[in-house]
Amino acid sequence: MNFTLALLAGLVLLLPGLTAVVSWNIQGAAQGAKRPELQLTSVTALFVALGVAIFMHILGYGLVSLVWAALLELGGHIRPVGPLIQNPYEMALAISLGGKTATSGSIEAFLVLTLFECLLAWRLIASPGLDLVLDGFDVRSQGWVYQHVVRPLRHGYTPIAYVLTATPSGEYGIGYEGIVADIRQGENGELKSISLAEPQRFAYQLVPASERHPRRKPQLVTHEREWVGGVVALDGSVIRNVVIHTVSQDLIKQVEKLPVEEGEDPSEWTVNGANGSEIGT
Amino acid sequence: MNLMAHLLALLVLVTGVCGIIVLAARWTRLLSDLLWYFILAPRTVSVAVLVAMIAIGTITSAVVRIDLVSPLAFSIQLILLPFAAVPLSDLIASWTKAPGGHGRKELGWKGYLFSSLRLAQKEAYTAPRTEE
Repeated sequence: MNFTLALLAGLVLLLPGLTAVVSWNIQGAAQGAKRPELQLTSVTALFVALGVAIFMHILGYGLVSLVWAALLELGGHIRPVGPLIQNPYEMALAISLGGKTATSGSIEAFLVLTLFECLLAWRLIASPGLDLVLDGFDVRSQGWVYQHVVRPLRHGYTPIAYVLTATPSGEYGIGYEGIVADIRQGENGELKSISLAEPQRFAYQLVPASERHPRRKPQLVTHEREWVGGVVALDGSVIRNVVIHTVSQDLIKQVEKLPVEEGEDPSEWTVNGANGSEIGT
Repeated sequence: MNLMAHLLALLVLVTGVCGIIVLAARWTRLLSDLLWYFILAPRTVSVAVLVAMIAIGTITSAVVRIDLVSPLAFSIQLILLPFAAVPLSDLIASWTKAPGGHGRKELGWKGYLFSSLRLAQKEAYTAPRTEE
């Protein structure tokens, strides 16, 4: 077997494992919080790809051997439509050892079987079962994003972020408050960007302690708020501070049902019972 | 007539291939669910698999007259097992949970094991809390 063919055969053999890694990466992208994909060059990804590929091939060989034996038995009950093609796994082993030449039927059967194994590997990773088993484990190393955004979202809470941007000049700055639509993290888990859905924008002011009362703490004062609408994406470089409050979705539904009285501004409503956490960047 | 016969053969071939693809996809999804079910509720699912295997084996040996212990019988059981064992596991779990826990009335019985465990995790979860 020449080098090109051996490489292709190696990739085909690894395909179920690679499918599992791709499925894992795609599942992670759908969580609303994204870290860089699990690279194939990492030890974990290589271990998963090889492990899943070996498991799938063992399962595939067992299934094929059983079905081939069943087909031989079936030939005794009904008139066979033609000769049984060679077991694709045995054919592949014979080719790799340089013993036999492949028949087209066996090659097709082997490729179809590999695709079927890929489908099974995909479904095993995409199944809710894996999600249930891994609940509570930060397997994607998302850190605070997992504890304060991903997990609350999964369990019926809405993460609401309160983001202060770096002050452009002096003591004033712009802040946003809204539902976390998307969070991107870098290689080391640092915040790359955050997107807020239908946020409120407000100006904030850092009031330093006065000279007359030097022991008083500096204060953060917010000014008028306005609804921005749509989605606001904030780059990590302009974010000074993020506070995430996780509010129960049932509570949000109750608040949404409340009638708005004349002259009242719903943006000034506060929700009691929200759980919060502050993350400095 | 010849053309009609060819068209009919083509139709049967295309329908057969599409049917096999759909069935294979469905079987794969159910098998993966069954494998996770084993981890999540081993006792219930073991009982369901055992009952499903006995039922499928009995029915096939009675209908198609093949040996109960043979590669052909095992193959038929393996093909039909996920279609029977997954709903049966859900049904048994929903029956056992019905008196005290979350029963079929709240969650239905399809996908019961996943949905009941997800609900239990939701109820046990409390969001992170810090100073306000």
